[in-house]
Amino acid sequence: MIELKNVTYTYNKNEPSARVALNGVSLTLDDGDFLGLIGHTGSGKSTLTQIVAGLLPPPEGSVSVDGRDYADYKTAARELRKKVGLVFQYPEHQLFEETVYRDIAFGPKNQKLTEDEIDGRVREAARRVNIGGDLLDKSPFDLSGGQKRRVAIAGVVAMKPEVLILDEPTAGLDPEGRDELLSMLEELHGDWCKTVILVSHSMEDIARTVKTAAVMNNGRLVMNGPVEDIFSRGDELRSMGLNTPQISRIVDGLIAAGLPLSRRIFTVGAAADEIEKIVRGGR
Amino acid sequence: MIKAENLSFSYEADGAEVKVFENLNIEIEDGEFVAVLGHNGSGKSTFAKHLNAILLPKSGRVTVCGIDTADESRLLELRKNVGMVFQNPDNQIVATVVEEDVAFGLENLGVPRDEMRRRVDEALKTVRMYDYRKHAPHLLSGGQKQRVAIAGILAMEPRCIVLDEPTAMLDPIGRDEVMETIRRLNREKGITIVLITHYMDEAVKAGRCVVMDKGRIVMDDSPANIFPKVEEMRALGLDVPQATELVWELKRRGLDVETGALRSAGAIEAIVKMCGKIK
Repeated sequence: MIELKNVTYTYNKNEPSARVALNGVSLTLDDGDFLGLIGHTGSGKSTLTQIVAGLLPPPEGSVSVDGRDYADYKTAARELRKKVGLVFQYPEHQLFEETVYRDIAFGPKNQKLTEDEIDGRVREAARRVNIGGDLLDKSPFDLSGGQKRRVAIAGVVAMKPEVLILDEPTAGLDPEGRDELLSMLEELHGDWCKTVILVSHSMEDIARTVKTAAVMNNGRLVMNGPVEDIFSRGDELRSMGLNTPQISRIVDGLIAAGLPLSRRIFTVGAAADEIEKIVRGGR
Repeated sequence: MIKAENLSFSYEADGAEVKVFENLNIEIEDGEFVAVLGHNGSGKSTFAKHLNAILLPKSGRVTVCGIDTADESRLLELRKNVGMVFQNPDNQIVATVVEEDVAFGLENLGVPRDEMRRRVDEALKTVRMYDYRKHAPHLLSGGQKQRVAIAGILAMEPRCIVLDEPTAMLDPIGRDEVMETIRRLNREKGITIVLITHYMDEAVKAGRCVVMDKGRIVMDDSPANIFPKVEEMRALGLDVPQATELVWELKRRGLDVETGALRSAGAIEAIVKMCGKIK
């Protein structure tokens, strides 16, 4: 469990260009959570994920890890770095090794595992991101864009982090690649990584993948709860530069036209179920 | 006009020739708004890069505004007429002040100062970023940065703009801003638009959709004729808008609903009509 209390983070502190990126954010991340994190560009999502991953200089406020309070963030950050794996945006830009195998093995090697353990981790991580064994000896630069993305993610997955954070992992992928990646995350969650945070600009991806979501706006955490609750607040989301999935907007329109639908619908399948029920029920 | 005739392109990997496309033929008229769809690796970005000679045909010919892209002596003229916008706004910004960034291309062309001022101002007004002309680009949102990148191209007064997934990194409002700008350029200025995208709700806004698969054009029609083919689109690894999917799914379940909606309003209308019939 990771708990942030009243965390504030300022870039270029004490300089004229100082900019508050996080402003009094409190967030509890329980073991087993699968959290969606949304917010406009510059809302503070990336800063928040980097603080959770222990990658920034100390913020103001307190951070506790597994119920233990740390007097200073530096000590907490050491724990966080062991626990949390962060996949940056466009992670494939960071591939660098001669072979796929060596690229995935880079992280586990730094964890001082035995050769056998490293080998096991590499193969397991590759399997989990659907990278076939025949690709392990290839150069990562000979792979397709979608494969490169998955190899880069495998590099973090192979470290078996308790908490896996992915920043816009589907950006630039085609619909099939996106579907494959999202189902891969569903399978990793709870089994290989206890906790997963998905940062995304796609409301459709959030709606179908996670149960709970947090919304950032101008450095503040403004909503945090079940996805149904969040997407039922469409007007507020739009005022923050976000939106609801297209299907929720259709459902809103149908409700306005007098159909007795629930506002808590945010996938096409659920909408079809409810509409079918109304029609067949003759209501 | 854009014209590709028997266009073929391949590259070498591990000593073997990989064909991206072979004998591709397409014509795009002046003033059209064309969306190019296809899964990753279908050849759509490679095609786009042929339009302003970032890549040259292995065989066949591409002409844009009457210029053969392989004619090196007319490269500058070609690039003035065909601007490109890419996915990542941060890779396209070169200056530290917005208006200087927009003027960058013109400076390289040696456009006189007064003319430059006029064009930069007009371009920034067109993309609705004039109020930000003195700002630092790196402090703008993704959508604003992309609009500055588009202004830089507009200042060259091109006849055609090719956009390769310009909204992939943007938040919802940024996507709307960029799409709105693209549509306005097409409608009000008559600029030909070639938009490569994975977002079907963006493709719906085009006048014509070209679907590529394995280097071939497999569909070339209006959005209204393409998206209702839900199963075909899925087989090509593509999506349809949720509005289209919803009415299609209701029909599949045996309900008497009119299919073919592309947007929310259309789906709402079709479903309300169906429910009216039942009552």
